[in-house]
Amino acid sequence: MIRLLHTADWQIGKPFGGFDEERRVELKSARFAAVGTIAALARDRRVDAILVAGDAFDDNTVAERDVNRVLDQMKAFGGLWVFLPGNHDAAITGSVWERVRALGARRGLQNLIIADEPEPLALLDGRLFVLPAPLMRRQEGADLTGWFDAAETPAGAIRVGLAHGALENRLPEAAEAGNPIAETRALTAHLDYLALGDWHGFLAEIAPRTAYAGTPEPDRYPANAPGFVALVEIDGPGEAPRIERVPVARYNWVARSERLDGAVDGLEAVLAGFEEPGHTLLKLTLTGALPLRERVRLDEILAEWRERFFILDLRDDDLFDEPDDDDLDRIDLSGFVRTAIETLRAKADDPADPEREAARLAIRMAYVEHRRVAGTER
Amino acid sequence: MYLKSLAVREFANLDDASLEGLDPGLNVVVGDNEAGKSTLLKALRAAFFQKFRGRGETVEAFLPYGGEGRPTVCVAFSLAGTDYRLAKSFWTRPSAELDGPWPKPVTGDAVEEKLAALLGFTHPGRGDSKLTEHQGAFGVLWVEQGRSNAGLDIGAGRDAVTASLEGEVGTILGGERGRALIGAAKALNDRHFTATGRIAGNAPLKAIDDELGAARQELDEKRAAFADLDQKLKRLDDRRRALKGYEEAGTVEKAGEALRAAETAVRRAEDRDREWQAAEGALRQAEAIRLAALDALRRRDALLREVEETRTAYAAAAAEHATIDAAAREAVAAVSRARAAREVTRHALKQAESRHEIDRMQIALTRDQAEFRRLTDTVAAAEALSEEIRALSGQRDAIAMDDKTLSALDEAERQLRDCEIRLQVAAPAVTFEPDGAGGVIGPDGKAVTPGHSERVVTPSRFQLDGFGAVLVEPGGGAANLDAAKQRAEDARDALLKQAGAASLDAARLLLTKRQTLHGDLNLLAARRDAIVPHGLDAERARRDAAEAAVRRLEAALASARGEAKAELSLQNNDVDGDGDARLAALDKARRAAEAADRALAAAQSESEAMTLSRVAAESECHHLQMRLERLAEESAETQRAASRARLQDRLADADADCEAKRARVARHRADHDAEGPEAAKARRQAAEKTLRQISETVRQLREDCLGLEGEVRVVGGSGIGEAVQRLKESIADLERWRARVALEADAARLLYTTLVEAQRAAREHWLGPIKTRVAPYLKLLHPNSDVDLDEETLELKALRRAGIAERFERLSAGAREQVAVVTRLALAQVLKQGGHPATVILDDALVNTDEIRLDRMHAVLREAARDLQVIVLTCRERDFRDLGAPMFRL
Repeated sequence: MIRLLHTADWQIGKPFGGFDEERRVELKSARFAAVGTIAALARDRRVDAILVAGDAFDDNTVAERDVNRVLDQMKAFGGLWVFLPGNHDAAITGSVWERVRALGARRGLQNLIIADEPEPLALLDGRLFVLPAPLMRRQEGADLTGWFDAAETPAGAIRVGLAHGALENRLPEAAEAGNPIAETRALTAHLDYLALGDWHGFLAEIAPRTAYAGTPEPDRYPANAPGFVALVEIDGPGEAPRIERVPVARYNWVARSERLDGAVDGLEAVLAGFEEPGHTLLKLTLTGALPLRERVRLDEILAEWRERFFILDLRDDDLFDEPDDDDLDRIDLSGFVRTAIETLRAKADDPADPEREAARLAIRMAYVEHRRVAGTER
Repeated sequence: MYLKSLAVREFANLDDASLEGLDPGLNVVVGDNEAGKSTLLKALRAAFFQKFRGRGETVEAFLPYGGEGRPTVCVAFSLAGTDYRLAKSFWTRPSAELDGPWPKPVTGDAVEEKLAALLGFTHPGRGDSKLTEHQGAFGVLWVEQGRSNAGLDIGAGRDAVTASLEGEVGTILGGERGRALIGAAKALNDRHFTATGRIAGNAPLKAIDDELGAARQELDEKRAAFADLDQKLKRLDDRRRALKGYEEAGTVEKAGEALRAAETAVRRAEDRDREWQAAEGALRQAEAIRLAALDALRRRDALLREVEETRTAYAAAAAEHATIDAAAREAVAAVSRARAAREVTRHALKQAESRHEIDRMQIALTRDQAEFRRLTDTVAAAEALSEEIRALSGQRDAIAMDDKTLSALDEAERQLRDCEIRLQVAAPAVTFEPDGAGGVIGPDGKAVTPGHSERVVTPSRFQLDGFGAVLVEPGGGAANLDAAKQRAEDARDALLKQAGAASLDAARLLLTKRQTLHGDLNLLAARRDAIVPHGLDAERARRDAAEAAVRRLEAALASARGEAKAELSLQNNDVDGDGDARLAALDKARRAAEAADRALAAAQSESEAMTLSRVAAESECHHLQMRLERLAEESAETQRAASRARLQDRLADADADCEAKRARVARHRADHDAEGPEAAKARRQAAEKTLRQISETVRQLREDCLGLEGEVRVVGGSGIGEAVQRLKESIADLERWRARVALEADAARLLYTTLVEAQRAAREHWLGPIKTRVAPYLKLLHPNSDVDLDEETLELKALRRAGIAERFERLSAGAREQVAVVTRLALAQVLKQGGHPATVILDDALVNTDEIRLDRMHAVLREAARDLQVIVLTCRERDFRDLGAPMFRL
């Protein structure tokens, strides 16, 4: 039996440009930490080899320092590391792999294998043959795993395919299809296991003996299940692999939509439902309509929770203010202020008015300011 | 509010002054110039508005003129029914104390805050308190000397005024919170925009834009660097691939081998070339021999051919000569025939011409004879007419009657009639009317008809039967008239006799006849002129000339006929005959003659040409005969030397030799063409060059790869792709943020402008109460008048009298100060109504007002003082003596 750790899409060097400096640094650090976690897991579970199925690096120009940090994190596992160039780190001229190879050699690393040639790799004294399909450019267009079918390996060795791309007809339509992989490849090539990368969610047995490990550390608000690695045990040639899903993620990325109609009461419970808000990135999309007093309450609630979540990214483009008589009573409107508010409401209610959005916000501002003024009076 | 007392010590020019027991209504404070009235007001302002710890110029000015001292002001005042006592000392040991409705007096800095809260004003952040900015309504109410006619100094006071007004206008206003909201909205607006509506320098939007700009610029730079790297990578990839291609294909080695092969080829080609040159020499020699044989054979053939040709030509020339000779003889005969024919046609032509001439003369004669006859007839007709004219002319001339004579006759007749009529009138009329049968015998001896009136123009005797004679003698006039009548009768008769007429009518007939004759004469003369327009004599001359011509032609014709008969044997019937036929015959004869001439000329020309041809043929015949003899001799000679068959054999041998040698040369040439020494050398040169080039290229590729690898290694590890991606994401995030902030800015501006606009609209309603208060006062001063206040600033804009607006600053100084004081009093009342402190202090505020209006102002002040405290500071006591208010003296 051999035991493999299948992972992919580390995307080291992903910039997280939409975040502030502090969070950017933390998110980037988490990706290095994930490598350390994987190495420790492999060591603890006595894994024979780690297969990285592409996109270990987010870009071929990844900083030299980042490459070194990855090598540092890999130290915990002394077994084989087999890296496949993916679409982000394709084995083009001047690719990151030239540098990895040079840095590895300088460090005297013997367990570092870069599978940048489409030819069988005999590993573990010939017990394991890895058939890699490295990407030589970002988009190959053709199925690079075609050669697996005719590749000859000794009868007693376990055959494992290593590829990066979209398994045809098995992934949602949204998946990029620049690098297709035949859905029957594991069968036609008599593979015992086909380790895939590119899809960031964990997908075991997506086809017979075929799995996507997904990214170990999420990097976007997902619709799939990122944050895992696959521990694969294969008893021998022709035996069915046992695939175990092991969580390794540090940060939880969640996209959530809530509809608010008239009141914000349910929202707090939703926010409180997260176990580790400090390690959660929540993209909260709010829709519906609120009276001003509820809108102000919402702002207060969000202001509080913003401080508790790692990120609380609010999308409220489709959440509308709907001032009611109660609102206006509360702010005790009279005289010219009432006239002004009525003017703004008329604008806000007119779909043809170019200042409609501004008018809505202006009413809310008036409400907030008026409440504040009233507050100071008391 | 009203001031109860004021005490000032060591304050500017006032060493010690106090006003005690001020009335809640009207008060007059009198003081000469320099007595310190204005200082009192300044001290009052200092007490309320100047921070006691102040060290500025303003506070320094509080010091007495000596420059040493402790300026102190004590004020007692009542506000909303509560009494307060305020004491402030400046500069030296500054202190403040405010006693009020609390357990113990407030002291120190707390006093300032307390005062600001009580009186509704603000302290400046730094510097001195300014009238229009910091002193609330007191800028309006406490009128400093010289400012009374300058408007209202309303400044920040307007907030107090409007706040007060709200009490009156009730719910239409936004109240204190409304103003606070405007303030808040303005603050929101000002975060984003400048006063002129542009984006403020420190606005969040500006910061985002700056950041966006920087990010975009950096992105551009990174992208450029990335593109540069990409370019280098592509170049490196390209170089490596190329180099690999060279190495794998062993290009350099192959080029070396090619060079060596080329060198061998050069040597081989040079050997072949030498052999080829030798073969070429042998061929040239064989060809020379062959050419000589060929030439001999050709010359022989040419000679034989020439002999044959000459012989044939000679035979042809002899036959030709015989033919030409016969033709020449025939041509001479033809000339003789043509000449004879021509003679015949000539004779015929001459006959035809004679006949034509006679014919022509005959026609002319006939024509002239006819002309002669016509002229003879014309002359005869003209002569007959002349005879007739002569006869008629005699008849006409025989009648001695003309228009003139007839006129004279008419005149004579008229005069006779005239005389008769007058005589009838002038002569007495006698009528005899006998009773019985007695008759009367007239002077003429005839019986007079009874009852018939008889005119008596001459003395006349009537014989009456049984009576005797009666002589009637007319008067003198009648006698004269009768004489005149007699003369007229005589004259007429003379004329008639001259004319040969019996009566006047006869005379008229005569004249008519004469005129008829004259007309006939004219007619005849016209007819004659028509026949002989040039006159009878001329016509006669032409007739004679025609006759002479006829005679001449007759003679000529006779002569011609004679000649023709004699010379051309023509018969008379030939001479006479059809003219047209003869003309045709003449024409035909002429054409025949011409044709005969041409035939003769042609025959002569043909004959001459034939003669020349015969001579030429003779010459040619002779020449060919000579040549044939010479050639036959030459041919026989050569044939004897070497027969033609021998010559042919020689040529065949030479041909075979040449063919063999040519084949050899061709073989060598083919070898040369396949690769001659030049081509081989060129190939060698190319191979050398190729080797050099390839070596250079490979060396260059290796260098390029090394260089590019170095460059790429540095840039490739700099995280440039990450930077580009980060900037793109960052820019997207900033853009989202910017949209949000822009919306906030728009909303802030919209809120502020909407509020301000609504407030402005509401203010129009606020002006009502002020005007209501001003109206009764103004009526006392200027009947039918009203004031216009600025909606925004509440400042005085104009005085409206009888509907006509006069701008405030253009009013007289007196009117200005009156209107301003009246408006201040009204505003003070509004303020008081709103619960604001509202004591009015007027420092020499009515110095430009005339006596009558001063009286009215007194009434105004008294009226206002019913519910306001008014303190008048003046240097002219008598102006306010009659006011009936408490007087205070400084």
